Amino acid sequence: MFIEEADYMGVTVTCTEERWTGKVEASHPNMRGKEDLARRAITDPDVVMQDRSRPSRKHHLREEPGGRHVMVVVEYEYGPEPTRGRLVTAFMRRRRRRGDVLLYARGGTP
Amino acid sequence: MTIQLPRIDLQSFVRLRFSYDNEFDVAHLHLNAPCASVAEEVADGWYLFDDDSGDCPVATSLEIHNFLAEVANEPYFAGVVKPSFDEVERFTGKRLKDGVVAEGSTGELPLTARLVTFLLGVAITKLEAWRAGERIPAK
Repeated sequence: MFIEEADYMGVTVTCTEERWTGKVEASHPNMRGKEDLARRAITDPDVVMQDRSRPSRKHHLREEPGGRHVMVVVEYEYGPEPTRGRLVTAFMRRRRRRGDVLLYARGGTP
Repeated sequence: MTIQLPRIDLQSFVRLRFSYDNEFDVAHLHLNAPCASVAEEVADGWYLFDDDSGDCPVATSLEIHNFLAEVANEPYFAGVVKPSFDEVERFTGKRLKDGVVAEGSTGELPLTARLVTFLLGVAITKLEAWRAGERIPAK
């Protein structure tokens, strides 16, 4: 597995090399060779937010130098607790929207 | 510094890339080839990318999550996207619901080029509305 990391809850999140290169890097060239940024956003995010449409999907954000945020979208499987996650996409994002539902914040404060 | 709304550079729009990820229901529409960009979430699941060029950015692409579930099958959009889907399926020889990547000139994919321009315009309008909402103090 190209990416296999435990998230903030200890749930394993994976991404195949095919998905990383064929989906993430192909659509977002500034993520080329930046899989470590995605790994860090999974293992040590600044915040984790609930996807607004899909309860099974979460957004992991981590600020990088320059003020941009790496955002990793993860789809979780439940049974009933989350059993594993799969990386959907990852890209650089400017800021958060008002009204995001915060699931986790490092240090307890968003 | 106030960042202006991204503009669509139609004069340089000569190629496009349309991809649909059927595993997670995500569509990505690029003006020209994919390039380094930064996103703003302009509505639920709509991510508008620009070239991050200071305060006058240029729109580069749009990523839409829950594309078939919430956008393409919505009555407002269905009539707009269907001709493009047919064109993409003819061009790639694959069914959209199986996942596709279509890359070509705006002449090879004219209906999809129009769709890209239309959806980018919708996204910029959504961004403008969101920014306006941010300026209104909550009661």
